[in-house]
Amino acid sequence: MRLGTSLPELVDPFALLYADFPLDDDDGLADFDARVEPVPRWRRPLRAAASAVIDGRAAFDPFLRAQALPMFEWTMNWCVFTRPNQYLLLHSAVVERHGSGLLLSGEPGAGKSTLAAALTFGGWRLLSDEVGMIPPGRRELLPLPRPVGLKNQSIEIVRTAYPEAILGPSTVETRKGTVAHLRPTTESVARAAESATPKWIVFPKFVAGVTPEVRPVSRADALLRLAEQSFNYSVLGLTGFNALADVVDGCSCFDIRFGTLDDALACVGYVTAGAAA
Amino acid sequence: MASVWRVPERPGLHWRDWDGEHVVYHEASGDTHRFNDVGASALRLLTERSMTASHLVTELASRLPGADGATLAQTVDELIDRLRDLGLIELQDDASDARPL
Repeated sequence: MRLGTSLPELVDPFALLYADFPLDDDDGLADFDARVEPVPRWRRPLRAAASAVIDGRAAFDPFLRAQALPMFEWTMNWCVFTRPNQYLLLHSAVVERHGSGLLLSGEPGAGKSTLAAALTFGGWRLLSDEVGMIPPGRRELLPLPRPVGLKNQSIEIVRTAYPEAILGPSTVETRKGTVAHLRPTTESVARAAESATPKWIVFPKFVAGVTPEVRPVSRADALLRLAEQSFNYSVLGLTGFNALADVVDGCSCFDIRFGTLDDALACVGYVTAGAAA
Repeated sequence: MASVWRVPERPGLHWRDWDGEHVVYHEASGDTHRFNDVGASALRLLTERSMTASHLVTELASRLPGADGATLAQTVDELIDRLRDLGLIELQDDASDARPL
């Protein structure tokens, strides 16, 4: 992916969040060319605006320039979620330990990104906080580590629980509320070529004040829920069904409900207990 | 005369079975459905050959020991409605009445 911008305020946050990522030759082939550029003041005279451009075309309506950093991340997400249809793409966070992959799938606000971020400080490697990439016929989870998007209270929760966490600046009043991105661990980036074997599927659900709970989910139910959350299941047809069924076939599946990050980690520990150390 | 039900030709049904639950991908619609043992057995039977609802009840009763006959008959009636709504089965008469223009 080739990224570009002439917004100087994005340089430092990008240098911070992507510090461990290797840079390719500038003249190398890129699947996507994504840029965020200022909108001329005469077009948006009231508040400074910017726009995203993918492969030379405006991708979305212009947005507030103050929100350029999260919009750049979401522009990259859009590229990843909509184009690589050689893979089944699940809207999930994915982490790995000892070669075994854990898929975290849920509606926005369920807590999957926060949980994935916390797990990376406890011996798990981040494959992605947004997308599970599955090559049909191979029963693998492919890594796509990028900064983890944290929202609202999750930002302070992660900052407090993990003082070593490196977070970019917070952006307020986005369509998702306040947003900040967490730099992925160095190990997650360094091992970005190592896939994982899916072993657990967990559907997390944050519910304030709830007693933590782990409940098995049938594989049939898990398949239907993951299909519902996929970006391209219907596009892939039978190939998507077989790829998803192959993943589900080898996984243990659970609902977890929790009211605190510690409870969420305890639920995941319970689910994954017994895995090879 | 009792209606005869069948799965359309080239049904394109692809199954996965786990612990008494069954998921089928229907190529024609691109939809994925979940069935219990009764539903999956019924659809598989209708894939093998056409039959009436009462015949289907008899076949299912022989394959699902312990199933209550009256309950099974009601279940099959509801199931046939559902399978027809989903486009997974059709009336054989409708199909045989069809004529090319």
